[in-house]
Amino acid sequence: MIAGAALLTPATGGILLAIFGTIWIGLGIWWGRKAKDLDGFMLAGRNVGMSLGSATTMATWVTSNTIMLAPLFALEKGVWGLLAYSTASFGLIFFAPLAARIHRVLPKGYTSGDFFKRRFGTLSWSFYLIITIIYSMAWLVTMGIAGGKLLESLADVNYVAGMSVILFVCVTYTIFGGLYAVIGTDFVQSLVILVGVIGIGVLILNKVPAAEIHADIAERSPALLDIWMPAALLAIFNNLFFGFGEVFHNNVWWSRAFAMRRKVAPRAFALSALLWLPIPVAAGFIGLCAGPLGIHIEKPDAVGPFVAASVLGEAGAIVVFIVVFCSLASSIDSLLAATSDLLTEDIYKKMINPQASPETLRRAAVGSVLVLGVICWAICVPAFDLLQVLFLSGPLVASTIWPVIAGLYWKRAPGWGAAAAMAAGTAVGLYAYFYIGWFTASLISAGISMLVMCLTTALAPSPTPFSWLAAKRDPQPEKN
Amino acid sequence: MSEKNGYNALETAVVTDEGKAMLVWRGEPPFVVEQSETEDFAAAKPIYEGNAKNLYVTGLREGTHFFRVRGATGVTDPPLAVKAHYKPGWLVWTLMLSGLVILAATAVAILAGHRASAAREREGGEP
Repeated sequence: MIAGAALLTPATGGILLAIFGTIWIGLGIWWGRKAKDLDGFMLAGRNVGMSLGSATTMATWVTSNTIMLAPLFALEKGVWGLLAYSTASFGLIFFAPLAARIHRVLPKGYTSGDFFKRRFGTLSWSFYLIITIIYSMAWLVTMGIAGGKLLESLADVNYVAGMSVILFVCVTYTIFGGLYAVIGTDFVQSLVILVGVIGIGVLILNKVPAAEIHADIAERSPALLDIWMPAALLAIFNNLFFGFGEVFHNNVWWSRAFAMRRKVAPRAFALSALLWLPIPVAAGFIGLCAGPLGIHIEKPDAVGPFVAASVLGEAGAIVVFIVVFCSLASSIDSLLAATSDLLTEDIYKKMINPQASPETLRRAAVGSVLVLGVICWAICVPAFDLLQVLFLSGPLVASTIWPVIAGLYWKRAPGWGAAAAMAAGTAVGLYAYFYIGWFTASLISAGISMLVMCLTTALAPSPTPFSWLAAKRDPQPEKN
Repeated sequence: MSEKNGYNALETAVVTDEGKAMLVWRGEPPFVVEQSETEDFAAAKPIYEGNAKNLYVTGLREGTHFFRVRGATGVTDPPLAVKAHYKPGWLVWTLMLSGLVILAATAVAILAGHRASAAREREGGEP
């Protein structure tokens, strides 16, 4: 079989899109009927429990990249490459205690921007907003483009049509139901993804014994078995800190921390990391089976779905289609909701209309979801290859790791120090990306940011310890 | 045979620092792609047989690898040399060690901060 031809007919792809699109919109609207006030729309009433909390976190972290890039990492870098991809779960684990602290210091917070503004002041908050908007839009747009391209590859569905349907479905139920709808649909999507990917992995491994996979790799690609394969080792820590930066800074995860009950949040993040971990491992092993199964790879980044379909036939192709659709929808709806919260709270409320009532803010949040959807669609239509833009955001987001840690735990960390840490980490990380290699950028950015944050705190600390209670009374401090 | 378009072995060898290359060729199928560690293909081994006109090779060990394609009418193009030249060991180990240090520092900072804030909370102090 040649891994490059469509697995399903356009008619089948269209029917699946129609069925699942209708189901998600229906479920989202039904679950979202509680999203009447601002807290309900933006943060699901701040009452999310363990099962929904861990499911939504896991599902959001499973993107089309997890399904498509994890097999590619395994194909190119062997088992170490697969494990390198899996280090993204560490971000969720390390965020677990941060989630508890976030609840403690900002019990009525709405966004990660609230934290930066209140803790560090306007300068750092501005740096932070630039970084997070670039990253969020890059992630959102790449998911939209990936959706269109995947549906085109899997079922020959016209790119613009497929991309438009996915965005329309996600925007619709997010507008109607806010975070209630997002979390509810994520719960179902997480089950589909877990069962689908792990089930396919087990079925394939039953058909192709591990010994046969090992023998094939030893014959065709011996370097993939080397413990000290440089390309794989270089990917490990860079991927790790990219993941840390993504989770620590982005409002997708902060909004979930705010939405969950206080004692639930840390446990849910930890559990979601464990639930997510088998996904790239299973997907990666699926990719390694291409050789022993005699599957010729024309599109390396599509090796996972095509191996699954070749082993399991049309039924497998349908399962892959559904899993990919779920992984895309679970990430796109989260990005729409979280980014709209940021625009509403940090741009509209803080900069344009500070006196806005909760009802006005709720309307602004709905409107910003729609605007984001339209902007995303417009950027997605030409199908630019924006994956490099997402990878370039690695040094940007990695530079925020230590400002977040310092802001939450160090009372004398100066606000200008956080701004300097983000600026220095970003600048040096981007330099490393272009002049040393992509595999250094996030790692170097995190390191530089750490040094600057530690040095500024040690050598020029704030004259008085930061007080969250005082900041609560005066929500717009400029003291740092 | 080319990694992109029309290279000759060694003179126009392709260099990869990740041990991978997408091989592309012309001609009439069926094709047999052979790989050898020497330019004379004395101990060549077939790595692909079929009708496709490309092949993604990965996991190449450090060194030079030679590829040629036989089509229905014989060898289609001059052979291609792919040099797998990985990043130097000192760079890999420096980055690995740096990563370990930053990871450890991150873990310590979070753990220490978490414990200190938990202690303050138990004592009823400010968050």
